[in-house]
Amino acid sequence: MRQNDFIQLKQQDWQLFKELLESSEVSDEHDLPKMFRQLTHDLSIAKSRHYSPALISHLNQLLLLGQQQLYKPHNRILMPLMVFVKHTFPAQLTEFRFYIIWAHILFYGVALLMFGITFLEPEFIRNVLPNAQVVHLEEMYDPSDSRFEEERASDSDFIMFGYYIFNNISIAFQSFVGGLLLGFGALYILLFNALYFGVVSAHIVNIGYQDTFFSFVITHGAFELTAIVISAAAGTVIGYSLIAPKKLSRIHAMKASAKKVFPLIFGSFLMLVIAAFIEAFWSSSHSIPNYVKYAVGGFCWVWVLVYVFRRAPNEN
Amino acid sequence: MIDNRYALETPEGIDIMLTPAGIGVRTMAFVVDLLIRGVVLFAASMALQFTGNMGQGLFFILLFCIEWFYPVLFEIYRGATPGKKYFGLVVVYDNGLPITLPGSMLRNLFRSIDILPFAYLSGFVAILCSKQFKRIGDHVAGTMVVYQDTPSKVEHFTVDELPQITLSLTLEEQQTIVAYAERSQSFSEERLQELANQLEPMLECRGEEAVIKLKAMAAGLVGKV
Amino acid sequence: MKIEALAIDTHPRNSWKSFDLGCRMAMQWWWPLYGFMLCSTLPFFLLFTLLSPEYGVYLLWLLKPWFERGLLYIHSRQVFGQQVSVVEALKAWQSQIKVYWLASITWQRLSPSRGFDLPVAQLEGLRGEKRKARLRLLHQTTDDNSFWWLLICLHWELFITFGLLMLVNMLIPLGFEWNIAEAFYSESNLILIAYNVCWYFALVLIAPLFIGGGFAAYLNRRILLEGWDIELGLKKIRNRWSAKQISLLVILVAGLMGYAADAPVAYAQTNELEQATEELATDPEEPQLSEDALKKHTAIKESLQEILAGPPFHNKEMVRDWRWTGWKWESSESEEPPDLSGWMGVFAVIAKFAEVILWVLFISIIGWLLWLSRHQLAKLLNIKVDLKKQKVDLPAFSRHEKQQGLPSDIPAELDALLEQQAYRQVLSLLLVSSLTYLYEKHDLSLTESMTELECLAEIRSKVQGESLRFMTSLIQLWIDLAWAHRWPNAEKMAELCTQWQQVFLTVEAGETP
Repeated sequence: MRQNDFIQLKQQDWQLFKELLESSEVSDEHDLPKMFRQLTHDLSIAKSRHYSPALISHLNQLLLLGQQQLYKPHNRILMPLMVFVKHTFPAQLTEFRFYIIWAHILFYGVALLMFGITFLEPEFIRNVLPNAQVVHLEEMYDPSDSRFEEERASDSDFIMFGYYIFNNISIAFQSFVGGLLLGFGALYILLFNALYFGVVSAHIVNIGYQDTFFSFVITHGAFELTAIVISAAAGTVIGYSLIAPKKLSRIHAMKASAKKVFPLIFGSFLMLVIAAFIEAFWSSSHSIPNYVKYAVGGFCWVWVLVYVFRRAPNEN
Repeated sequence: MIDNRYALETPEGIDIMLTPAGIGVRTMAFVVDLLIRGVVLFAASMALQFTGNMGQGLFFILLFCIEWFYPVLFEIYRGATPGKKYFGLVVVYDNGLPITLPGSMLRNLFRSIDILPFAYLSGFVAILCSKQFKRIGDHVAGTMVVYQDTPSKVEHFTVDELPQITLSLTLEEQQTIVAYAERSQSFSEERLQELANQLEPMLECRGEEAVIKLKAMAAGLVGKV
Repeated sequence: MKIEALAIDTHPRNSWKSFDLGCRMAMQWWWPLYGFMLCSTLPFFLLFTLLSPEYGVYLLWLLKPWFERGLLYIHSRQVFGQQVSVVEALKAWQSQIKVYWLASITWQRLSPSRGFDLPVAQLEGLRGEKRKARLRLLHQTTDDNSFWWLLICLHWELFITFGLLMLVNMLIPLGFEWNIAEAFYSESNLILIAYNVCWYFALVLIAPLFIGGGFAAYLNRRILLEGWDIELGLKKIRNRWSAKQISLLVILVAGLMGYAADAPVAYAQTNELEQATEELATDPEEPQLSEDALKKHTAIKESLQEILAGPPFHNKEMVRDWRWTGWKWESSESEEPPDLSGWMGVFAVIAKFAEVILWVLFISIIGWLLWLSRHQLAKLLNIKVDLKKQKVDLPAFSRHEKQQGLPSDIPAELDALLEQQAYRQVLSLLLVSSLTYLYEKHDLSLTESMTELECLAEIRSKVQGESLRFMTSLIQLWIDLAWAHRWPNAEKMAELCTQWQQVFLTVEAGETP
């Protein structure tokens, strides 16, 4: 068959296929997959008979559009988010339970150690933080400070919200990506945060500001600290896949593990948004009595730990 | 044979040709996106400077969202950021399908690796070393940036008379002659003759006559009567 | 120039795609390109920076178009499949600079479309007005992005310079007081040299890409404007046609020989066919195919293989296996606790002991390996080791009864057992003794896990004649008794015993004096 006869014969089908792709409504009248297969057949004929390059590229483009339409992955947001919170995230938490438990042990272990050291030897904080920062810290949680007398205006709450989000999530992302450095980046961030947290809280206790400090951190800490630990665990999973790629090549192992731990990162990202919200609007509020904050904070801790460490319900 | 195109094998057993986008055009697209982001942030800071501290907070949120979600949102809803759209690029998965949330999140998260140590040096090297021009984020997420071409019209050419010529030609040679006729409108008359003169010993004529003969051959090959 | 060996795909593109093609070209031919770039620029770089660390690099920057001539030379040769080595490029380089050697580093140095214009002067050899007219023609398009390409490359050169500087900065250990920002504003020579070196590497990295992109854009412009790809195609047609005219005579002569040349091929094919039919015939499951059907079958199969190997099927195959690549110690993930000074002494002692232990372990492993390969070693050194003293690895079934070796007087033992009608023991004894004998005599390879029939098959492959016949009937009897619980009658057992004496004892008696 000559090229023109071929075009003549098929043109209407191609035109129809293109129109069907462009129209949004779905009708049962036309069998789109069948038309698509026919089109692939046409292209292979055109290629094997060396029809003109223009015709081949035309069919090629048409085919690409068809493929994108037919095999299009879903792109919904709300429903997947629900499914994610209810199923995917807990399932992944269960799968990487080993890493998450170890990350928790490492984080709180180092934090406790540092807390102990600083508690016993108050001058230790000078090794960790520069002096200016210590002074700033002391000012921040000074109960006699005038800021604690009056309620902070909601506009400054917004500043803090924005700042916290930016800050926290950068940490989580860093530790995820830090996994690429054989997991050492993630571990570094985890340990650094643990050290900082332990030293600072012990120092606060030493100077006797614990009430303002712990009432402040307890609620959002439940989400924030857990999220940082989870993202560091995710980072080490990637790092470990690079160290021990099993039967895959390193690059494939890295890809596969990045895909696998992505829910962990996304989950900790959600938790950090929640944490930033609480930190900005709840923790910093001075009109709420401390025992309420402790109660709510305690409840949040229990809930978060149960959510993270319970076994995921079976998929079926 | 070096080609910047990439043959994608579909489940139906046919190759679709995709053209990955390389350094040049992606740099340009990035600059356009950077400009857009800069303008938005500048406008926001102008508008928010009168709202005091709350405005500053909002600005931080905006900065964060634009930093991390500007590419993601545009990629999952429009297929590419405005800068890429402007240059006719689109982000797809390795199998040619439109990108979705996880892929887009991953490839944009890993921007923070590509940017190391400064100004996308790792991304640049990764793109150079990859046949599909993938930066590290693309490798991780299994995505690539390709040119989005709309289906082109098959060019038609006209012939007035049809002298009968028979030459035994291979399929590839036939393709050349058909391409000659199809693209003849974009060449000047002198150039057409010059090209046709290449086949002088076979056509046994030169100049205008050769052009007509060659076009007639093409017409015969595509079956135009 | 061989147009048949064209190394790039020439279909019409837009300018951005052609730059991408240029980058792919540069990466494909990286060896000559970067080799040439390094060889040609390094002496100048060193000389200039020695002369003046501050301004030397600007001189190199000014002379860059000269080096680009060599790069374009390599690109333009490689496009037509001609392999250019670094040395060849360096030799040809001089002649490439001659055209516009001064203009290219003075008033043409800042031309916005330098990379795109270069082929017109260097490859087409046009000068003066002709060149200008030609460039005007080539630039007549809305899709002329050669200036953008130059800007992009320029900026990347800068960014890569700073990127490399940052990398150096990152790699400098913390204790070393060196702040990049401070150093940049200071007058120190160190930062100047670091900057120069980084810039030099960026220049070497970018130049082949820049020239490749410009050259590809130039070719693409010619494809769009003049049908350069079509011209090549038409030339190919003409070449083939004229070659055909010339070789007509040759073909006529060769025609006769063609028959002869064809014959072996045909013969080989039929041979293969016969083999295939033979293979089919030996398989009883397969229905017999007629010659014709078979021919068709193989023909289809062959053409299928051919199609499957062709372009639409990628035949991607990923093969993974483990391979020894030398010692590579992977760092473990554990973090060290910060304070170790107290433990150091203990560690040192442990380490010393560990060294001794490791040596002992190493030596004992070597010794063990030697012991394992003692037979091979013996063979190597021509030392005769009496293998017969080795314990025979008899199949498990034969050792039905627990036996402490063979009794010294087997016939007497047999008689005694026959008396008691302990046929199992009799058979077992027969099996053990005869297998031991055959093992020593015929070098049977017996293993403990062998079944009766496997054992018999092994015997059949090594032993013939009377012994084989005896072993067959013995093992058959054993199977009947052990598995089917068919009790043999007394005569049969007695007959077997005498047979055994005939087969083994007489032979042995005849052989050993």
